Amino acid sequence: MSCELVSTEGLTRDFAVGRGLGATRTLRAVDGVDLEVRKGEILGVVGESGSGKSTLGRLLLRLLEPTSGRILFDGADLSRLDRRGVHAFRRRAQPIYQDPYSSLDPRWRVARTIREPLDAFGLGTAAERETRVAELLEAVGLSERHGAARPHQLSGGQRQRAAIAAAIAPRPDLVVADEPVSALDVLVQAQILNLIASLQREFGLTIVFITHNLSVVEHLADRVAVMYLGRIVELGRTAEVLRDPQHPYTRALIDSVPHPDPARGPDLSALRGEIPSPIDPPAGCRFHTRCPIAVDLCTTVDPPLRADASGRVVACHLAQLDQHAA
Amino acid sequence: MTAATVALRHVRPRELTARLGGRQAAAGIGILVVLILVALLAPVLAPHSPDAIDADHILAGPSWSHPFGFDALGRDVLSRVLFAYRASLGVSIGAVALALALGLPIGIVAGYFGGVVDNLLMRPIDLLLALPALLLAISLISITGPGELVALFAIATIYLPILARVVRSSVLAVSRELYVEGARARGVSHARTIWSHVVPNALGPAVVQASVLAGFALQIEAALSFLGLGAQPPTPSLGLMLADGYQVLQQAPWADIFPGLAIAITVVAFNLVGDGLRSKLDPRGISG
Amino acid sequence: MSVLRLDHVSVLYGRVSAVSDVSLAVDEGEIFALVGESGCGKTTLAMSIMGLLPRAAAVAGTIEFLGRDLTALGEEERAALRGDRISMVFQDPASALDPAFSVGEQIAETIRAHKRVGLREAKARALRLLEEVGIPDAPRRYRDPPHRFSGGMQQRVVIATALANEPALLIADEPTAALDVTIQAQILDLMRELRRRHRTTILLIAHDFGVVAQLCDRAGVLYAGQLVEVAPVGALFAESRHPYTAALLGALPSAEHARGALPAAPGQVPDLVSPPPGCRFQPRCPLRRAECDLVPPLAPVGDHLTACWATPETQALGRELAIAGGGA
Repeated sequence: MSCELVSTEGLTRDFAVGRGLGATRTLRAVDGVDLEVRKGEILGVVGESGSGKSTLGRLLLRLLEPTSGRILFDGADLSRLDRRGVHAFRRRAQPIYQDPYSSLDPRWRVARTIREPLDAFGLGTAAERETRVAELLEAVGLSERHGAARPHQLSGGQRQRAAIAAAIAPRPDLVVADEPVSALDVLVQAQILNLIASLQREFGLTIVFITHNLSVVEHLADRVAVMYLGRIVELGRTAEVLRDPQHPYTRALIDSVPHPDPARGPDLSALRGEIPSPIDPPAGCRFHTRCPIAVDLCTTVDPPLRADASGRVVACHLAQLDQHAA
Repeated sequence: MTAATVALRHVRPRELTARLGGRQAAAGIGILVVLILVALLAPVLAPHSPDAIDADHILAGPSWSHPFGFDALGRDVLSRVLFAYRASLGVSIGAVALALALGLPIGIVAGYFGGVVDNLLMRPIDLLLALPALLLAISLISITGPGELVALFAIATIYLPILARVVRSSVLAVSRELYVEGARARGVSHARTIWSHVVPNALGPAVVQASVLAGFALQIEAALSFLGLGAQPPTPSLGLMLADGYQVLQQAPWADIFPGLAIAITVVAFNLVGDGLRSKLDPRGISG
Repeated sequence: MSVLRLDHVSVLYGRVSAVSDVSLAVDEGEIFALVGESGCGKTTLAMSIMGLLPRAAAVAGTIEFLGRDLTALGEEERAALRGDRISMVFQDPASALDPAFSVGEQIAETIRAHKRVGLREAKARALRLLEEVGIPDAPRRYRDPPHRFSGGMQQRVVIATALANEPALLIADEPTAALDVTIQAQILDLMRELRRRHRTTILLIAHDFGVVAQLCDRAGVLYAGQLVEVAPVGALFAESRHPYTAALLGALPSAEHARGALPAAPGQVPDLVSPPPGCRFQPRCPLRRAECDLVPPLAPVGDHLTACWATPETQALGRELAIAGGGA
């Protein structure tokens, strides 16, 4: 059965840090991630800074090469593609970034940026591309006037609409959106989330939605993967994971979000301590230094990802799963 | 080039000023254009021959027929200044142009690709920084003999690592912008990404630096000529004239002051261009 | 008694009307939030209280702090208040701390800038503050420069510096916006604890309704420079009276709305060079009516103060003011 568009096996990416004098150290930003993204779903990826969620996104788009492990896109191994294969893949997988100012060339009029992928992939004739740019502007709620403007002349929301238009221009199958609404105000955020949802429905997009905002995931994502220090610690259907988190980190993350309802009482800070440096992650379970329920086993043995019957995946020694093998 | 000419044809003066980087840069460019014309037309403009010696008027003061006076050999200072612009502007602009021609591609490629490519390109360039300009000029002379070209090459060699480093660092910064990564995701080739996104956004600091360095080149040329490593007498160069005039500053200040003023005007013009471009090249300043 | 009272405060940056006729009072010991989207004027208001607006800004109205009108004070007198009676915590702790000095020295320096105390006493007090804001192993870390601390710990140091001279008013501008949620929760805990212990009056600038709900007593909602609603947070979240507040709360993403069906108010924030006349929210407002071209007064509606012509209380107050205005 090929209901997954992307799957990764043991995906790992290292970065060298501390260049220049002194020994270089290795930062393992993404560490052995096995992940499947299903066709037509919105998969939320949540985590705090240093969780590796952005690196994972760039790996999925092949904007970074994995150190080890592999990515299958529609059945094809991305690392085995030749130049033409990569070019063809790029058309099918597009990014949307957090900061719509730095994702648009400040010297380019917006319409030119939207047209860029059409030119690069050779989609349609020159006249067809013009028409397509106008259609795309309209599809994201912008006018020709906005198309003729440079990014600094637009508001944050308008810039993000333009960036989205450029991303969907080559009719991709996969969109990796890295914090696309985090820089936006609430009302603009709501408009952009609605836009992303409607485009997803209209074009049957598969979206990997990377964010630190659990409310956004709750609203938008079919499934959610929770990352901590380069690993996926829990993955499952969004409603189930948020209602009944099995990993103590997921629970802490949910409890830490200040709820916009004073009647729910002040949330006590669920976690002591800080996120450890990914350069020198703790032995055993990486979360044990902050875990409220850690036992001796956690300090030495790295918990494997275990799946239950419903497809929920958790990496915790203490999680009570229905032990039907998966 | 053609696109620029076509565009300029429809432009009104005020717009032209804006496109040239505002009033400051326009003034600087205006002065430089005049100076380059002066250098080119020196044979026409100069009232006397720059080399003609009038033994009766050694160190004579300014008069109607010789407004800048005479130098220690009885030559007309005005005519020599006009001719000196040829050597001085030629050396300074030529040195910067040569340094840019080599430094831009090196800096762009090193900054964009980084890693091993960066090291391979930039380490040899850094070695140049360690070469003293004077030693370099002297060793060049041993190959080619002295002259303006030696000064030009020596200055270009000093400037090459400076400009390459400036370009590299601004390209490095621009390459980290998301629109560059985005362009790759949108299927744009490296060459095209560099040409259409990286270079236009990264060139600013290098152009500013280059215009300031061009002004400074006049002073290096003066020093080299003073040591006999640059323009050779009787070819007039502003640096040489400044050095010669300094010896007679007490008796005949005009022999020193006018070449000095000529250098100052040129340096100021280059700096005006640099400052004007600095503000112009901020993309938020682009109108319409 | 109110620590801070703004009376008809307006701020103009050239032609940009950043803050328009804002009046409010912050009581002693309370945490008051100014909420709104970017460009609503909340940071401009904070800066006008601190006296840190750029020269080009023109401030009208009065800003009364402990009974003194700050707008009437000279620059030196205002500088003497800053860091002493009024202090500020910024969003980005890394840029608020001087990288060249140890965290302990920075706090001690803040104390000695305003109080005639000896070095040893200032040091002892700085150390107590570091312990109080929860820096582990404070005596040893006193000499560490800021970059040795994580973002959360840096923000604790900034808070300690702000509290160094026991200010009467602490202005916190998005103090947790740059932090991860688990760290944000810790900082919110700390601020609650400090408030309980010192009864410091806090003016919190925020865009996150969650933070406002969990930390504050009352909140004022700003839209495009106008104060549209003031209410105790309980009342505000239970039943917002102004259509803008309702739109903001309604647009928060959650599973309650079907995907793609968040009630997002149409349009965008107006250009503040030429804002719409009267209520600035009117072009986007579902309750728009003819009167909206006039600025609605803030009228008491139950526990709320609301400036909206669609509420009968504002209507009544408007008539009253018109009669009074006509009589004068």
